[in-house]
Amino acid sequence: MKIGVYVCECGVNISATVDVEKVAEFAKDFPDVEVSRYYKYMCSDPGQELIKQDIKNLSLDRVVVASCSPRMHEPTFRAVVEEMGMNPYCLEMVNIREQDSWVHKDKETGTEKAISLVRSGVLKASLLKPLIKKTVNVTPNALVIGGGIAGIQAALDIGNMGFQTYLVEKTPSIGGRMAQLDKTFPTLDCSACILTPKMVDVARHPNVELMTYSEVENVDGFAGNFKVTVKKKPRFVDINKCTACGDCVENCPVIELDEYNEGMTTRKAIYIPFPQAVPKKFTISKLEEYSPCKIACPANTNAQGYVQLIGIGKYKEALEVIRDKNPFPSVCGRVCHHPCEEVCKRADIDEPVSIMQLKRFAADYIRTHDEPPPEIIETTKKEKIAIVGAGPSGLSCANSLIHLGYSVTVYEESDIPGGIMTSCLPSYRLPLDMALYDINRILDQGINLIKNTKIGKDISFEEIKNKYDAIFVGIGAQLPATLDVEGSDVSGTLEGLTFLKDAKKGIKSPEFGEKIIVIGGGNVAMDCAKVSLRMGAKEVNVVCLETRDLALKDRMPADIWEIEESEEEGVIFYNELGPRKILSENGKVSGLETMICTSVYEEDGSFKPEFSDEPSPVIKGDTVIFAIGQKSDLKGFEEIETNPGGRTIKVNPITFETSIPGVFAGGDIIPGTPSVINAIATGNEAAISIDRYLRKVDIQEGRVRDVNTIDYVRLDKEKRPRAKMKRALVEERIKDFREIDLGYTEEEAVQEAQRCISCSICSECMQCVEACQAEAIDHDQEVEYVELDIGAIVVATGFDHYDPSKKPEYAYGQFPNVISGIEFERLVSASGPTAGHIEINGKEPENVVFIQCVGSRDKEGHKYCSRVCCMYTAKQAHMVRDKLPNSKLTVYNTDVRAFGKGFEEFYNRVQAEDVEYRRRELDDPIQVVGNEDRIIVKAEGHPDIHADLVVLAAGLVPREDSKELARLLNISMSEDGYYLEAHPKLRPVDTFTDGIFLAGCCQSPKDIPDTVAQASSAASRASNILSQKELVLESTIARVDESLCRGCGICVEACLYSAIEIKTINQYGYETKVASVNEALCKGCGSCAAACLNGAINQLGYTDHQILAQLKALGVK
Amino acid sequence: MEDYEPTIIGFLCNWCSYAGADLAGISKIKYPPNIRIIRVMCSSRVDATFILEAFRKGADGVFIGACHYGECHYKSGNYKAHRRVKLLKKYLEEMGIEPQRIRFEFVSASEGPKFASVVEDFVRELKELGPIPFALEAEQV
Repeated sequence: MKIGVYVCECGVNISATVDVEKVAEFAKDFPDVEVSRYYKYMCSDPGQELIKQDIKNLSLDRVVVASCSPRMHEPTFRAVVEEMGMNPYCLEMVNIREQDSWVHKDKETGTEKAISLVRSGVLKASLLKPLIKKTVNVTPNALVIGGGIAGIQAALDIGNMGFQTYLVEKTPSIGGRMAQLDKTFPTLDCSACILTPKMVDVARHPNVELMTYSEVENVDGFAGNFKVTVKKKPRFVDINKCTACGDCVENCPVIELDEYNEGMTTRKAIYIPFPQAVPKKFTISKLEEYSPCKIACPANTNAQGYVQLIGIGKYKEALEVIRDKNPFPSVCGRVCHHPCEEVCKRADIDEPVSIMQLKRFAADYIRTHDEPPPEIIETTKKEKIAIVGAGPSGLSCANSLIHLGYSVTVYEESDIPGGIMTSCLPSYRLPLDMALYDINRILDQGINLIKNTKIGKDISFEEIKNKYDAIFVGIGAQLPATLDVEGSDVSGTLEGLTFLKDAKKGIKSPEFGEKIIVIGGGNVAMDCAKVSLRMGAKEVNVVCLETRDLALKDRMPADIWEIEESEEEGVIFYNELGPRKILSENGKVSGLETMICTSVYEEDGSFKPEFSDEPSPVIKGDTVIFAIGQKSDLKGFEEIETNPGGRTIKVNPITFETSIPGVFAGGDIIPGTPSVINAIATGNEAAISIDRYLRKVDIQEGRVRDVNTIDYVRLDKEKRPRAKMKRALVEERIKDFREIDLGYTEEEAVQEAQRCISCSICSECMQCVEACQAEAIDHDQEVEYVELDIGAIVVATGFDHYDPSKKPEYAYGQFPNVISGIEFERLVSASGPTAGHIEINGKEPENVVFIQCVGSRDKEGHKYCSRVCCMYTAKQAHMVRDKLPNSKLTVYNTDVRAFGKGFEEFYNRVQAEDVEYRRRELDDPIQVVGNEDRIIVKAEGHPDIHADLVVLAAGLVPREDSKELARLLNISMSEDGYYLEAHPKLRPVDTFTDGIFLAGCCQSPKDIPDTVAQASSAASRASNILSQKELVLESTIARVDESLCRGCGICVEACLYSAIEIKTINQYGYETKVASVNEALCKGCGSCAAACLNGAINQLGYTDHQILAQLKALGVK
Repeated sequence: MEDYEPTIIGFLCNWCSYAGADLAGISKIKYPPNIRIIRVMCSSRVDATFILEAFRKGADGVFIGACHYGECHYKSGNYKAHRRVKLLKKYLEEMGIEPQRIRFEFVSASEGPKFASVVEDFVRELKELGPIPFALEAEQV
């Protein structure tokens, strides 16, 4: 073994702190060292020649170079030894510059350390083994991430060099930040005019494939052979069909802030980002999460959809959206318990949107404006279905089924369809004609209704089963529940449900008196109380077990508005009392003896009232109405399995199948259906099941979906409480059964609907589908994942703007006339919110103040200079001078940095245009104060200045999501959050990960010319890889010594790349399990070598022996 | 003990910490010369044997520099390394060696100043601990 040691002086970089002569001298005595020299610049030609000659003349086997970091010159010296026929891996570098001479002061210790490091290098070198270079083919495709000017330029350059290039942009259009700018400094070219041709070029380039509205989802592999997964987000518009005509925009009701104009204007949910967008195709903004109102509705009625449509006056379309899920708009517009309003996110701003009343408005408006009768639906399927019970669940089921083309017959026991809607719900809440309007519209579509027919009495269940292919049972709960109270067998006791039914027909029981006692705390009890008043009662008392405090577990089950209305009308409440005994005189009710109720429900919600013996009030009265619940009459359906207790039918809660195949049930007859909308939902879902049952497909499949709803307020809107509904006066309304709520006027409804904040942006009202003649809109589009084979990647993801509201002294966000630099760009742009007129609230500013270094050069925040703000401020000052010649312009600057070509000249020109530059120290306080009318800028050392417009030169900051992309790509970030280049001077566009390059502001703030130059540079670097047929693979990979391996598999688990597997070999005639390394997959981290307990697996170039040898050398004191 | 200078062996991963140490050099940030650096491709290459052997060969402290979590060039080698060091520290304590003699730090390629300051801090801490007694005995064996 002959080792040559070469110590570099690096001018004085090393020799100032390290006595290189002494190091070289010492090295001569290290084992196997044949020659040891020092030289001024080892990396220079003569230096390299020195090594080459020694290799040749002295037949060296190993070379140790002690100089700068191996990260700098290892490739250089490897090439040197390789040229002389030596294996490049027989070279060892010793870092005595970055990690010795540059970090230490004392020459003696520096020299001592260098000697120790060189000894370590020599010991390792003597153990180095020649390694074989392996190569791999290169995929000649490039990926450019980011479609701003940097990405466009890089894609054009790579494409021009003949390589297939994929340009991935996450927004719907390429163009990036430059597309938002008005003019560019210092030449004042129009930004759009110079950018647009490039956008068109890149889109038309035969070698470039645009992937807009797409994001990089995953990156695997290595330089030359990356596997990239791109997520194509759904545009909900087929870009091959879209002609960009804009008909859809007219029809879209949803307003969203316009990102292109920095939120200074609004756009529709369906949009093209800006006039010159490429591709010029529409996109629908639709969040992945659903609007909470839609999900809270048991029937999933698209509340956001119809509310938005009402907001733009499309009432007919709104009603269609409602009827899509709910055929009872007139009913549910009046009596729904509206869970949608409970979850409405508008409540986080002020109050929930009055969704139920808006539904009523849509239904009422269309009904009173010549609504045409429903179309008769043709039967297209041969199967016949029977619905038992014409209540909300049965009719909803019938409605869904007839729309699917089935023949439907509804059996109803009474003489009027509608169930509780027509039989009990008091008319002041739901007038009979309103309920019948919805019911008849359903029936008139061609549903056969058979009235006065009770199953089990007029016709047997068996007969129906034979006659029909499927049956839906929705007979509701029409029997009153009874309570056994002492003394109830006297005249003057009534059952609530019967009382309400009679009242609805206008029948007044002779037992009904003047002082009424209603027992019960639910909605039926409230109805009984209010109906009693309207029937002429002088006093109405409600006695219930539960408490009035609706926040407690023992709360009254009635809805709050029912209770409040009753209170308004003078009903007297006796809470936390139970009936002990009905008092009577002469066989007629005279009052109620009560008992104190101490607890109603168990912790698990089960009903278990407890009473105390404490004295309790006696309530006088001549009539007691029991309103304590209702139950079903299941006579005739005995063969269907019931739930324990026998009161309800047992069904599958998702599909509503009963124990009998082909028989389904819903509504009040099954548990957990507390209201009309729940009943409708069960009917709709049962119809889906019936259809699947008859088509013999899986009933269960896809019925339960995980849905996420939005749980944040998407738009920050001003407070605007809900429109108050006009109601009948108490003293008037209790005289008869007129409706209490009078409904919204058209104006009120539109205003109320416009309070909706469109949680999921697109409301899926489908009006765009109606409008699009090209049939380009597809609301069912889904995310698509595309796999790409890529050889090199250019990252050009750009920057974000600093948010000046983080600095309260600038009062940004408080006053409309304090704006940021990018907002000013939009303001002066001809395509901006004011078509290029500089005006705030319609007024041209007289005094304009610019403040520089907002968010840059900040000791606490972004320490760096953003490089472009000085010049864009100068440009913006010039623009104001140009457009408003008489304005007074002041710039507060800290240092004006006019370093580029033509910058200083431009700055001088702007100064000469009567722009006052006021210099302030960076740390001196500056403050924007005042009120809406008048703003003052106060700066230390300068007189206060009045401003009509303040423009803040906000700096550039790394993209919000830059960290995530860094992780995907495995590239580093510098301290300021921008992507880190491999070397600040010599590899400014490379990253530490081979094959990935940087362009533009993702690496650091820079202006457009620098960005374009860097993009071309990155393109050239990427092409260096793409143009090679093959690349050399890592040689320092893992190697197994099969004679030591015992096949335990610890290395398999340690490997992060699944590059190791256990294989069986024949060893000395025995079958033995050993580890085996897939060399193409191994990345050479050495994790397996550290994990191996036997030292059987090693990392070439970093073996246990080699590292232990280094240790031995370094430990010596 | 006034003039006692501890010896530190540093294992730095090529992608983050070694580059961070280079950056400290490029930025000419001074730190004590006690550390001797061995370059490995990944912190997960650092075998427990290396650390024990370093102590046996006379090191007073062992420094391991890794990429920050989520930034490992080899996906998650730094997690493995960190876990190994945590285990080894417990073992060292059993053997009567202060676990503080192993220092595991996340140093990114941009954290030159951090590298310098953690080395400085480690040297100060080791000076307080004094020389490792174990190694002297081992040498005599």
